[in-house]
Amino acid sequence: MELATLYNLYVDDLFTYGCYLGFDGEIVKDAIHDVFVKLTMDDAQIKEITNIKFYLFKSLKNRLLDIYKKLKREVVKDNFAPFDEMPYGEMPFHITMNVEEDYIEKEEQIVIKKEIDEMLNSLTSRQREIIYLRYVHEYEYNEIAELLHISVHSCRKLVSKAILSLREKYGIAFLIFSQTGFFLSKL
Amino acid sequence: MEHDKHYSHFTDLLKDRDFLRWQLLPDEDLNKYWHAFFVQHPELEDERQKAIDYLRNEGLNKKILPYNERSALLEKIQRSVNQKRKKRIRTVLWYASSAAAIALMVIGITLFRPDIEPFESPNEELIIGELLNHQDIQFISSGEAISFNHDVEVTLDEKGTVEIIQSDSNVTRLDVKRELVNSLIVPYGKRSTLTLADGTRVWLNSGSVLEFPSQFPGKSREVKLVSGEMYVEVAHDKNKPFYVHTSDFNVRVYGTKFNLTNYEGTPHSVVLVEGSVSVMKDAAETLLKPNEQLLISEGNMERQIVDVTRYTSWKDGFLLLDKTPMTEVLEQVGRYYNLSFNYEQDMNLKNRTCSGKIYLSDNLDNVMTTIALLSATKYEKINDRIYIGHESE
Repeated sequence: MELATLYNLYVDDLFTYGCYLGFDGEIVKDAIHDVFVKLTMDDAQIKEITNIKFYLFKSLKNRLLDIYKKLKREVVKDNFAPFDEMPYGEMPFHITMNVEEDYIEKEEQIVIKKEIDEMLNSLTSRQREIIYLRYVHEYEYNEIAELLHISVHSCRKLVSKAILSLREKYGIAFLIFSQTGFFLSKL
Repeated sequence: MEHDKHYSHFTDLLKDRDFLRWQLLPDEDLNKYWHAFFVQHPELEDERQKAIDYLRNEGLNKKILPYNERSALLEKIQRSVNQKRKKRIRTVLWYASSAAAIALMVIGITLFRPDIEPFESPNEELIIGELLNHQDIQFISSGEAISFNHDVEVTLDEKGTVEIIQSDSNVTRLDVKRELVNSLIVPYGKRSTLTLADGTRVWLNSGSVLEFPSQFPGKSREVKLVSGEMYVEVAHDKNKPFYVHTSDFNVRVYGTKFNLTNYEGTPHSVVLVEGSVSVMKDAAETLLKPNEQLLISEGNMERQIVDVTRYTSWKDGFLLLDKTPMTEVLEQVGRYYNLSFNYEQDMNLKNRTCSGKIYLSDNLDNVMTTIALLSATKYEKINDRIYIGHESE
């Protein structure tokens, strides 16, 4: 595929992903630049890539990690502070719900945003990242594990832990509600 | 949690914790509950789909890269790639010339300066075109891509059936989901036509990506030209305006014929053939009359009267040129046949213009002969390369 076509198809997803990983927009753009230049220059490699979107996500994440490590050596910036004690591959993941469309009422916007952000914030960064990769991009577990530098097993475990913690937080009311719902519907 | 939950709009679902939990982290209980719920409430099917689409797209994956930064970044990438390619060639030249330099130094002359480009007299100027690999047209629906190696004619009907006829008469039929957005990717060297579910006809030029829904159930009909060029004949429907979105402006029409250009690196334009359209960019809205062209570049909109045939003839397989700069002609021909042309900034050949009519036939030699004739140049084709130079005296 032509560079411009590829770029137009995936640049928005890549940029959003990079920003969710806690990087400044300018750094994300530099990383995207490097990823596309490398991909285009390597003609032999491009023929072997079957899932180009996944390849781009993976290259971007690895590139951002490299950039981060280099930056940390130069200056420890405030917004990178949470990185300091973290092992390789573990980055913050700040995902927030956007509801700013004109066709949704202001009050509704606030409620929707609050519900989703609260739910996501009660989870860990890795859990949020997995949800984002699975739900928004529909990646398979083995792909997600590769992006997060963890095993497929720990990836699945993180998901079941997240399910459990949300069930604990919101699930009891739901259980009562859904059971009575079924009960009532049978009457 | 209250029992008497009432959902009528997709935002009601988005406000519901259990719905959100089911979407983001489903477990068995949630699956059971919501599947049963939507079986009981078939009237909410559209709202359910809208809620999910909203979450997956705008909600959790909002496009946040501003348009001007988006195109600036692409240009930067393209510049870097070109520089690296040149450097690669220069390295090869450098090795060759170092060998020569060593030979020269032996006899005591040190004229070796690797960075200086070889001097060329105007008569030796050449534009070099390279035939690139053929790529397939792709129809993408539910995340799956189907490839076609010939130009295609795509027709959607109201039942959700898609019929794809290739120019070699191969027919493919498939069913698509009602609410789904599909993409048609037409690479350089290929063209396609498309009839949408409402009867609107679309011609897609080489190097275009169009996103369009299988059906138009809502109050408006909306498609997105991600890149490239399209000619549209919109089926008339007073109650459902038709929108074409691009990354930097939107066009609203009711029933009309117009051409839209959205290639990277060239000014974007809308040319109106019949009817009326309004073009919206940021807060500004411009109404166009037939035979008018709106040129859109960063922060600037310019309206002028044009000969519309010049802008729409590509769909009928020819180019009409009227003192058109050589570079523009080669750009159009390059897209049509998937050729990449190379020229240096200060080349005299670039300033030539062409006037006349070029038929875009399957025979590239005929096309190049016409261009050479119209621009008073000569050309030669050796394997996959085309060399264009000055006519010899």
